[in-house]
Amino acid sequence: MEALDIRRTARAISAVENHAGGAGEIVRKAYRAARYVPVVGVTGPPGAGKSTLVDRLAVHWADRGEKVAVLAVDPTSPFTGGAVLGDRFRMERATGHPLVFVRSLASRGQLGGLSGTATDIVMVLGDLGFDRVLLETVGAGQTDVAVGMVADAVMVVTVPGLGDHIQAAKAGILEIGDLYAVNKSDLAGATAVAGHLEANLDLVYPGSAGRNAPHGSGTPQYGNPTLRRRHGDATDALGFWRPPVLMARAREGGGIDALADATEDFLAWSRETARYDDRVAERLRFQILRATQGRLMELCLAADGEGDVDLVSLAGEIASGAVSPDEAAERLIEQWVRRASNRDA
Amino acid sequence: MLVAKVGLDGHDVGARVVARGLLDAGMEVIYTGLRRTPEQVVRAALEEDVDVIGVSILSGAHLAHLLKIRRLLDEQGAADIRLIAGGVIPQEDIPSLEQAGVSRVFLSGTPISEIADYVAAQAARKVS
Repeated sequence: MEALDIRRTARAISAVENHAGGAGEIVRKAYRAARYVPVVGVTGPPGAGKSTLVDRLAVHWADRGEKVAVLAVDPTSPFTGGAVLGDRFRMERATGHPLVFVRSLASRGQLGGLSGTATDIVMVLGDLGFDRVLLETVGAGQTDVAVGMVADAVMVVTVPGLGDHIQAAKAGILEIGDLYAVNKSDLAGATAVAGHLEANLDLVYPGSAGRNAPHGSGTPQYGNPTLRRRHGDATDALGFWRPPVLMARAREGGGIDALADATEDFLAWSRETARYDDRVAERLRFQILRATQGRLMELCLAADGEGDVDLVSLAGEIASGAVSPDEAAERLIEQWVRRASNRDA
Repeated sequence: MLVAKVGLDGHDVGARVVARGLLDAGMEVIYTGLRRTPEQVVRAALEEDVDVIGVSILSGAHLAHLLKIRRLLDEQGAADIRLIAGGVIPQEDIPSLEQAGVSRVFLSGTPISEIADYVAAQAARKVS
């Protein structure tokens, strides 16, 4: 087994993260290599045991000969831009494993619980020979759903004692799971938490946990188009997927094999029904929009002050009530368009 | 920046205060937790691609640990990663540490801003 090239991997990630010189080439090369490896996202509230679970899962797959990269995202301070990254501290097994590479990422102002460059970094890791990426989000609130956009399989981790069953019914991270794990399942209330999750899934999915054969009759059971794209529905000739709810005790290693197997089963189902490819395509569309947004801003900033429109006076106009931010943005974009067409003429 | 504790030393208040101070100075700090081996510290530093490793030591066994970290870094082609030490270190040990490749020693009572300035200068050196 070829060993990991730790320094090369680490430096490539830093370059992409910092938009440093050479980052563009590294990322372009990765997208040309087009090596799409499975990305397993792990999300859930702070203290649910995500890091410990990721630690166990990484070792599970590495012990089977896979090269596994772990990306652990922690929050950046909104006040100073600094961050204390402490997740690897809880990954005692994975951090010493010859086939596991663990890297902390600061969220750097991106909402949604993920570093903004995560998708690009995942591509680079695939290009560098990793067989699987485990992505741990920041302790997620109810709206930190970006992991659903980056990962091929999303595991939502929860624990007993976080609130009543109404919490489980709220939208947000309880809609993005392809699998659910109730961690610390030896604690009182674990069975009830699993029961609440199942009851909520019942409202959305017919059938039983995991793969379901086509039901033949019936109307599409859910109005949520993203879920229907990802999990199919009862009218689908290829069947549908109902997210299983599994018990785990990550610290003691309990339930890890079952979680890993369920993840593999979901990924296999997703590939067989071509939903995996749909999901990758959805992610790439999202990346194009993100890149367009960044590029457009760059171009407009470069044109700033070249004509009669500049940021400082626009801000003044907004403050004095003359225009709204939307109108100011229009004018900034129009200035860039004028400049670009003058240059072409 | 990697803040590490090595050896059989269970006191990490100093390390956590320094980590917090560097966060406030706008830095990304990876904290390793207690009782790491030099091998674990070096592996973490390489994976995280840090500019500086700061080892907090209150146990008296600092010299051997620091020398080993420096040697492992150099062996793995990471001579560019700066190693600094902080905590309770006898004045007479400082010259031998510096000779062995420890870039700076910050004794207890050093203002965190002084450490932050040093780390920022090292990071800037690497970029340019």
